[in-house]
Amino acid sequence: MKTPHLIAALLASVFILAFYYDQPPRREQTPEKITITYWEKWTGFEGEAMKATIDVFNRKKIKNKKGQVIFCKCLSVTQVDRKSALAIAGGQPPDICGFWEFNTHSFADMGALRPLDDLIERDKDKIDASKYIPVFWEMCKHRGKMWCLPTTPAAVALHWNKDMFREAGLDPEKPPRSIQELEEFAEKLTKKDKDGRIIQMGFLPPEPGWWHWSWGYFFGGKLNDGLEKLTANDPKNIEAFKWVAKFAEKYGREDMLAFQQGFGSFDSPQNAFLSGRVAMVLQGVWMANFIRFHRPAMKWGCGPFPSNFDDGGHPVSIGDMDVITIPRGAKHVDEAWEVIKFINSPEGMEYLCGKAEDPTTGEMNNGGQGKLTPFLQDRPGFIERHPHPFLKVFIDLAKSKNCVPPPKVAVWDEYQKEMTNVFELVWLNKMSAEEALNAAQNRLQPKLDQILKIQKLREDEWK
Amino acid sequence: MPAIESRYKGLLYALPWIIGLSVFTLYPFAASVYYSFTDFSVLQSPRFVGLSNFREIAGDEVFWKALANTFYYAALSIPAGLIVSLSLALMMNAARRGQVLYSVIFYLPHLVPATVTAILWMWMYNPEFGLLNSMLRPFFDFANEVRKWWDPSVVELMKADPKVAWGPPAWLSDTTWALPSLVFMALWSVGQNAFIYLAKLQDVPQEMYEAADIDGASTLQKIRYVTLPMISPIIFFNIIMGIIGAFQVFTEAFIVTKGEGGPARATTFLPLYIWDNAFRYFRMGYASAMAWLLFLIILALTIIAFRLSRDRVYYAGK
Repeated sequence: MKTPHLIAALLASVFILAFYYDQPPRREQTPEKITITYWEKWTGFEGEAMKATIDVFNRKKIKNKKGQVIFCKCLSVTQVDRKSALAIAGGQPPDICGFWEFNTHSFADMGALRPLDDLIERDKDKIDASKYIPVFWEMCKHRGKMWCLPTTPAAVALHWNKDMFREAGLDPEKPPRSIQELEEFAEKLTKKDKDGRIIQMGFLPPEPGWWHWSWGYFFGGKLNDGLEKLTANDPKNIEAFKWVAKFAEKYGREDMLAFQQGFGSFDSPQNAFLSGRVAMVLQGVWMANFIRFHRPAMKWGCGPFPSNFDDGGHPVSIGDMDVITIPRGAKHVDEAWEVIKFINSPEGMEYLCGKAEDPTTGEMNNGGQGKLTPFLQDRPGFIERHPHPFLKVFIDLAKSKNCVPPPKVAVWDEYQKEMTNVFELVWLNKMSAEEALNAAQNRLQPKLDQILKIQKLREDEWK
Repeated sequence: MPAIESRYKGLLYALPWIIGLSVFTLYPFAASVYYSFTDFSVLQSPRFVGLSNFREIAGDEVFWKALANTFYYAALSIPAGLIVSLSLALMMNAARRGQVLYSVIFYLPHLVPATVTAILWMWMYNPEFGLLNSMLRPFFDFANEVRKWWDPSVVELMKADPKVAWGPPAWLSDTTWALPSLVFMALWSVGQNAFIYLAKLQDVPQEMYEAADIDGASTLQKIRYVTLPMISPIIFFNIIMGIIGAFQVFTEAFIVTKGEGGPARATTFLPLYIWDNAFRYFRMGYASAMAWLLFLIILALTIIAFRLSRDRVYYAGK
């Protein structure tokens, strides 16, 4: 053989071998042990808490029907929704995916998830709707089926800085109870320097700016009416955004913009709330963790965010939840279900969400993800041991009938972005609340109609 | 038959590249034509929906807004890039000493990855603490002093409301300035183009300048009647590359606005909106349709540029 041929043959064989060996790494499957994979969205301390919970599961050495011990490998995967979508489309999904609740209905619509109803039915003595806070159970449902189960739920509340309240002559134990009071308190808590520059604010609507879609709910509005009709320009939503515009007008858009430039990133002591620049914020149950990490000495309180209507003691909150799912095409459904079942048992869930004992070693963890559990009733001692000093506030908020989950409409991701745009248009005085909301409604309703039309066309594929 | 044998051999050696190109470029390219006529979420098999994606595009305000933003960006960035890089090249060419040093200085920003550039400029543009506004503020202060001297009644107004005083814009947070800020940011890395111009400038025969000198041409006349015609093929090349680049603007806008294209969609460019639809809303069919429209627009502009250039670009030897 001539040298060029030899080189060519060598190159070709490397090329072919590369294709041959480029298969997903083989999992360690033995007659005694079966390994399954779990892609989890969290990194950082929340990811560690999830991994620790999975470690407990592994130590329990639960066996499948064939008598193999189930070993779950938990991997932190960023942008887990996009990566999972490709893995599912490629037919090589992990056995378990940790998503956000708002992903699951669109993934379900696309047939990317395995419904859990038969598995729940099989274990109905352990997993049952009656054990869960209704809003969280409902969040797992879409078009009549269960697509996921909770990992860590959350609700949002008003957090206030007690020292700043005291300094402004307000009672640190009495947060605002109505939107009007919120405005009054905010005014008292706002300070300017001698040049008229804002140096402290009572409340700043775009901080942190994660729930711009939700303002209407605090005014009694809503974003949808069932799965087929959007109601972006509901009169109550218009009222809410008028309030936003009024706020911007009152404190000056440019002045607030200049003030905001001094804020550091969320997970840092320079966070607007943690650094004492903004006295009241709308934040989730996780905020307590960041206060503990960055400003442990801070005096703060939390309670329901005020609304402008009185609904007989049912405060408004936003339900938010991390969930666990089995993707379509997962190879080890029964084993994956064992993991989901463990996380949704009191011992697994409490270990993940708060300070609890490892049932295999008897050791205490350091507080898990520091959130509430999705259960109606926690075991005695859980709330007392929990690192969050106001956990009860969030449990009550989650149980309120006005705790709203993100709507399950098929255009949700785009709808949410549209509402952020509405906020910006109104905040920057580019459009009136009414114009901006009408524009959003007129743009997204046809999009939803179009998607629903195609969904109908695909009805035969959807099981 | 050595000729044929060597042809096969050549093909064999090129085979990995040919396979790569067909699998990773040609196939997706062709497939996206089909997908643009389907509903395709990646997770389900595509389903033919005829022209419905294109009909939806026609009525999609954000598409038109994004297209307008993209045209605006191109209209600002292509001429600005041309003028700045050509001026740099002319200056470098005229420099008697230190040409290498200047080249290095102007080329360096091009080596900085787009992500780093974007993050760096976010700090430059910070309205309160940014370098840019720190530099501009004294000028505005001076202007305000002049105003007070000119019209003393302004003093009281300024005291009552600090906003009456002039100040530098909030750049990326301002709907008017956000897009021009991105154009200005892009100018930072025109060193690459300046380099190409410089190479061509040094190619212009000295005799022509000498002839122009004898005819009594001024410096500007020499640039207009000698330099520009001689380097016109390169200008043309850079304009074509500029059109293609400007219509694909993505990275900087994505990073600076954290993928949102804000404030209030002021920097939502078409590629950003395509990305949103493909990977955020999982509407690959709709995104493919928009991507094809974008491709056709770039193609049309390139053809127009070629038409217009016919009598204006000088190719030596033709």
